[in-house]
Amino acid sequence: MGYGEFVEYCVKGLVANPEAVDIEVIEEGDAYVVRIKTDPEDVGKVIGKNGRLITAIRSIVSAAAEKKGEKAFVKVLTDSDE
Amino acid sequence: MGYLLEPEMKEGAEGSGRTLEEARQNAAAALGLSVDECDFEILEERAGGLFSRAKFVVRAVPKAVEKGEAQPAQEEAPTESEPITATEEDGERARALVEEMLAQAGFEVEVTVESLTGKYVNLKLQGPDEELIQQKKGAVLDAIQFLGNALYSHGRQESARLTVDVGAYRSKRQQVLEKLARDIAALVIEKQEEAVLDPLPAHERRIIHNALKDMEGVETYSEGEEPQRYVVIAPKS
Repeated sequence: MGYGEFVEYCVKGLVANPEAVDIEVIEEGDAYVVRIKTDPEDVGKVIGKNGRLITAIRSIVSAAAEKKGEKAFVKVLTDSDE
Repeated sequence: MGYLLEPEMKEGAEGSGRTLEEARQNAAAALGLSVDECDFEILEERAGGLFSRAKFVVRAVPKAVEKGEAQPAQEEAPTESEPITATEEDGERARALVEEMLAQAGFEVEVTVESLTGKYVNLKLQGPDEELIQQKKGAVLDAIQFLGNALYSHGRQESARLTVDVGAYRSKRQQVLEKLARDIAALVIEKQEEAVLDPLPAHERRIIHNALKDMEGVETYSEGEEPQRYVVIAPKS
């Protein structure tokens, strides 16, 4: 149970190519950052129309973090982040 | 609430179990039929907390050849006709999906199917993390509902839709929105000027449309792009 598992569950359920999904959780200062890597074709499916899917994922992750008294952020990596 | 069958159908067999599916299998087996060959009525549905077990009791009856008008009334705006009717399988699949999703996020809530209305599976969350989910004007709850729908309908042409409620959040919110709609409509009629509401999610806009659809002297419509789409209440001549 953790940020990475939740994000992975959602992202794999949204994309066309779940095999290519790679989720990494890193610590940056006092916060956890969940980094989502997908097939470039699938980036839009994770973000959603007007960013609504990624906003929903973020809002659940931040509530989950609040429960534990932590901070957590979600980042979608695109090619330019490589 | 339960899944209503024709009231005169009282024959059949009961079955119980710790999940709805288990209860249905037991009830169907008691009749010597498969789950697909039966209709079910839920007699008892206990969510089960963290320390108590969930319990379901259902009555199975052989499926009627012609089901007649057993469909529950839809709470839809008249413009959106929709042939899909959520089944108990949809309900269980949706419940399991949302439960898994929330467990992954570390939320301590139980998910139950409260009712099936038209194409909607209405889910309810109960447990220690209810308040956490209601915060920020229901933004977390809306996120769960939105994401749940996206995951549920992934890879399906047409499918049932989910609504997710926690505590009595949505039913209270519905009362607030209905009162707001009526109060603003009264002002619109009095001043003969249209009123623009704050942006609302789709299911809340529908509450406004439905609250005013039979009211004389006003009409409602939505404008703008999601997620900033909003309702306009206008005088109708």
